[in-house]
Amino acid sequence: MRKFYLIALLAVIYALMLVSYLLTKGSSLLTDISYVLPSLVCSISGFYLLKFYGIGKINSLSVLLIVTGFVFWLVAEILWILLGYLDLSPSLSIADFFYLIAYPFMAAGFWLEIKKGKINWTAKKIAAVFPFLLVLFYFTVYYGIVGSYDPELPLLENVVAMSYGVGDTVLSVMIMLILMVIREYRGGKIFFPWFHTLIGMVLFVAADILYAVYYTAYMEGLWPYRAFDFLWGLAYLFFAYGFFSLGFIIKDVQDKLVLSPVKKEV
Amino acid sequence: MEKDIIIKKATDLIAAYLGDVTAGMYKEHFTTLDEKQIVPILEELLLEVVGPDKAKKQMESFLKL
Repeated sequence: MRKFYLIALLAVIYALMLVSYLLTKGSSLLTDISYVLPSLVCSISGFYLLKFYGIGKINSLSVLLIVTGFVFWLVAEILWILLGYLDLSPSLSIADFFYLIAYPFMAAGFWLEIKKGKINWTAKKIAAVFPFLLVLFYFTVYYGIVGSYDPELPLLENVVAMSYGVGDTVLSVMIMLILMVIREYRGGKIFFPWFHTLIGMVLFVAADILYAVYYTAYMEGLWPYRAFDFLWGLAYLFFAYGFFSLGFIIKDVQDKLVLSPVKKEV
Repeated sequence: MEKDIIIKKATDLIAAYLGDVTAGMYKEHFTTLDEKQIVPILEELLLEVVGPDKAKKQMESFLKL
């Protein structure tokens, strides 16, 4: 039942985003709120998970790092909106700092999760993963790094623009490695939450690449390029669904233990 | 294997997938049990949480230690 309400809530948030964007076409308070809501729910899901997962010891570090990344992205999204209201360009601003700093935290968090998985690399596994990695690299490196370079822009702007591509390239590697880890969780309750988190990462990287390719059109607010926000929004909601679900699983395990009738044999 | 060692290794494994809070709860629970009761509970938990393939691998490593 809990999951039903969660899905309903996330669906309403996404529908609000779609409707507000499609009805207003331009920027408005409603579109701005609906733009930030998915990221806010994503951060809340991270705090919900941390409540049951725990903070402070090495084993919870991976989740803490990922949630920190989510929070940095939330701050970046809010700053992006606020800078718009102040008539300042959100591109090449403090918002970029928070967007970019989230990447190493996310990468570190997912790397620690991958390490837990202890993948036993075989030639077969490498052969299965390598083509997908090449495809991902093609898009992130060619479009995200090389494609975002503009010789007419100042060096700093190019460095910032290309840094997103670097971040996405690293996340692409994490995506492939996490896929190898979570496939071993098949049949287990944590499979789907991590799988949904993975979908979120794929959507986020895809949106970033499209942004890099169609940067000018997006910044001018042209359609359909503004619709890239729908991909980011959906990515955040998949992250949220994954982390809330993982939180539910952990809470259930803890509740079951409290009610456990198993006692020491006398 | 000494009970304390079994509990430490079991709770480390639980913490890896379910975090430190759950591991702490299981540590308290395991201290109230006989050694022989701990491994089946751990195995059942892993089967439920990480699935049969991963649970089997983890239990094989656990029992070797």
